[in-house]
Amino acid sequence: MTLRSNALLHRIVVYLLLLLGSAAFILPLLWLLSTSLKGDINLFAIPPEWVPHPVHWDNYKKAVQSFPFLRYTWNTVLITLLSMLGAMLSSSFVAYAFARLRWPGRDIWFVVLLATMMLPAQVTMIPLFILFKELGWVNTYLPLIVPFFFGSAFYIFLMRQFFMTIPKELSEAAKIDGCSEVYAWWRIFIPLSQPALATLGIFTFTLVWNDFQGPLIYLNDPHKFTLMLGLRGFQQQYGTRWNVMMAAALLVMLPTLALFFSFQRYFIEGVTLTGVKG
Amino acid sequence: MNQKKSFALMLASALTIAALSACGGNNDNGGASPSSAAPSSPASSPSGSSPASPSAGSSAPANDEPVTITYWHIYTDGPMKDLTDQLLADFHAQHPNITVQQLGINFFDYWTKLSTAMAAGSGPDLALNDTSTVPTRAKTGAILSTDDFIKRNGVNLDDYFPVLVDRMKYDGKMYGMPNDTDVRVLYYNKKMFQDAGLDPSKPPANWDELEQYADKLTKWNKNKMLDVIGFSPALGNLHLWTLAWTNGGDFWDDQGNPTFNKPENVQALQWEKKIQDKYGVKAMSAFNSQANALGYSPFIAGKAAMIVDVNNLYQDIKTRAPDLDFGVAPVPYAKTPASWSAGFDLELVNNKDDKRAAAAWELMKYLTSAEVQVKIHEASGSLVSNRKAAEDPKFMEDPNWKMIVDQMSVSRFVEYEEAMPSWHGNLDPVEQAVLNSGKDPQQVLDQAQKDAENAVANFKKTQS
Repeated sequence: MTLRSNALLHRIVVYLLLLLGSAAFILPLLWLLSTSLKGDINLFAIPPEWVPHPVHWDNYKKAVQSFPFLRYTWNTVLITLLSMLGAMLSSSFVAYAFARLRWPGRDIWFVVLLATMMLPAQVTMIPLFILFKELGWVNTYLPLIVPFFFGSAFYIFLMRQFFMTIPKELSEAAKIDGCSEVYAWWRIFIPLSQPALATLGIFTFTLVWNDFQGPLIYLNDPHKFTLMLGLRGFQQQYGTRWNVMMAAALLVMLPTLALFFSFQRYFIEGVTLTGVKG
Repeated sequence: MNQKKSFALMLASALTIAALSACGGNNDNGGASPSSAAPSSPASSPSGSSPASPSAGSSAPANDEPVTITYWHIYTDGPMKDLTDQLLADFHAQHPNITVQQLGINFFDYWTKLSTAMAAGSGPDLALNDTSTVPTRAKTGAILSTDDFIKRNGVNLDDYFPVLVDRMKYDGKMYGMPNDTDVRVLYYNKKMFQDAGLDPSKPPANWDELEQYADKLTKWNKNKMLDVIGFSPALGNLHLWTLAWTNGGDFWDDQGNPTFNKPENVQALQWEKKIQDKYGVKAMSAFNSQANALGYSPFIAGKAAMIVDVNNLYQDIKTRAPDLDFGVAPVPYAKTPASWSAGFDLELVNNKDDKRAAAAWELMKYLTSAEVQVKIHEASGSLVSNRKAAEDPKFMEDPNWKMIVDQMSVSRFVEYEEAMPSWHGNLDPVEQAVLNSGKDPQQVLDQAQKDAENAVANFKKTQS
C-alpha cells in the first residue's frame, strides 16, 4: 500500500515538474501568437491581454507583404539545406579519423580542434570577412555554406564520442572482409549513428536558419537576403511594429517547429534504442 | 552500456542548453548615436510624391558614362522606407546614367554591417553614418573629403546648422555632409500646469523653478504611490552631461584631459539625486514598471508632467495623443543654456574609384538639398540638417517646432575623444548608480575621473 502510494506521489511530482517545464517553454510561443494577432495599441497592456480582441489577422498579410517573403524563404532553405549536408558529411568524416584511425599526433590534434571552440566568433569576424572578400565571395552564399563542408569542432567532437561507442568488432570484421576505411565510414558508421546525425542536423538547421550575423555582414543585395534579415527590418530606431514582426516571426518559426516535432520522435527513439542494445 | 547512457545524457543536455540559449541572446546593442526609449508607430503621413524639382544640379559627373553606386542607410520600414524608394527613383530620373543600389539595414544592426564592410574595404559608395565619430574615419582615410565637390558645386555650408558643419570637419576639411540631427528639449503638460495653479505660458527656465514646479505637479495616491511625476531626471532622455553643460560643466578640457569630477558636474549630479530622492526607490520602481509597460513615453500617457526628451517625442505625441495640451521649452539651466545633439551624416566611402565617388557625391548633394530635406522632415518629423528645410516658414508657424529648431543655437555634440570614444556611454551607468542605488555623486564621479585618466594614459602608451 505505502509502496503504491509512494509510487503515485513520485508520479505526481514528476508530472508536476514536467508540466511546469513545458509551461515555461510554451508560454513565449503563446505570447508570440497572441501578440501577432493584436492591434497597434494594446500591445503592452497590463494586465496582459492573452486573447486579443478584436483579432487582427491582417498582421499576417502585412508581415508577408513587408518584404519578399517567398524569395527570402527560398534563400534561407537553400542555405540551410546545403549547410546541413556539409556539416553532416564533413564532421562525421573527420570524426571517423579521430575515433577509429591511429595516426601520429592524433590526440594532440584533437585537443587543438577542441581549443578552436574557445575562440569567440566575434574575434574572427573581421579576418574571416577579409579572407572571403579576397576570395571574391562577399555578396554570395559561399561564406555561409562552404565553412560547413570543412567540419566544425563541436560537431566533430559529438560524432567522435558517438563513434567511440560503436563496437570495434564491427569495423574489424568489415576490414577482414577487405573493406576500406572510407567504405566502413559510409556503410557502417553513418547508418549506425543516425541519432547523432539527426542531432547534428537539428543543430545545424537551427543555427543556420536563425543565423543573423553571417547573412548580415556577407550579403549586400536585398534579393539575396534571408528571413532573419527580413525579420529585423521591422525594428526601427524610434519604434517597432511588434505585432507585425511577431506574425512574421511565427511564420518563420513554423519550419523549425515542424522539423523539431518530426525529428524529435526519431531522435528519442534512436537514443533509447542505442541505450538498450548496448 | 554505461558509455551509451552517458552519451544519451550528453545529447539531452546539449539540446537543453541549445534550447535555453535560444532565449538568451539578442541584447539591444545600444550603441552609436541617439536612442530614445519611446517607440513610435510609423503611422505619420508620407509626403505626396511631388514631381522631382529640377534644381538639383545639372553638373553631373564629368561625362554621362553609366555608373552604378551603392548607398547604405537605416530606413527599413515605415514612411522613410517609402520615401527613400521614391527619392532614389526621382534621382535616377534626373541622372539617368547613375544607378543606385540601395541597402537598408535596421538601426540596431547597421553599425555591425557597416563597420565590418568598411574595415575590409568593401563598403558602399555612399553611407549614412554617425556624425559624432567622423574624425575616426577621416583620420584613417576610410572616407573622402568633400571639400572639392562642395567648392565646385557651390554648395553653401551656411545653409546647414553650424554645429553640424563643425562636426563634419577634420583638419579643417569637410568629410561628407550632415543629414539630420536631434536635440533635447523640455516638454511640459499645460493642462497639468493650469490644474496646479501654474502659468502654462511660463515653463520653468532654471533648475530652481524646475524643482518647485515639479513639487507642485507631482501627485501621490493613497497608497503612497506616484500617480503623476512632476519631473524626474531618470525619465526621458536628459543624461548627466546635458545637465552638467547647463551648469557650465564640462567633461574634457581643451587638451583632451578628462574633467569628470569638476565641481559643476558634481553639482549637476547632486541636483539630480536631490530631485530623484523625493520620490524614493519604491515608488519610483513601481512607477517605472508601469511606465515601461506602456511602450511609449510616460509624458504621452499623462504620467509625467514635465520631461526632457528628444525632438522625436514631438512626432510621437502627434501620432499617439494629438489632443495633448502641451508646450516645448529649452532645457532648464543653472548657468548657461545648453542641449545635446547627435545625428547622422552622409559620407563618401573611399573605394578608390573617382567616378563612383563623383556619382555618390551627386546623390549626397541631392539628399541634403533643401527640397529633399523638406520631404524627409514631412515623412519622419526629423530635424534635418539643411536649415532652409528645417526652418521652412510652413514648419516654423508651429511654435513648438520653432522652439525645437531654436535650440540648435545652444546645442552641442559630445566631444569625440580618440582615447575614449564611448565616454558618454560609460557615464549612463554612473548616473543610474546615483539615481537608483543611492551612490554618492562625488564618489562615483571621482571614480569615473580615475577610469578616464587611465583610459587616456593607456591610449597615450599605444601612440608612442
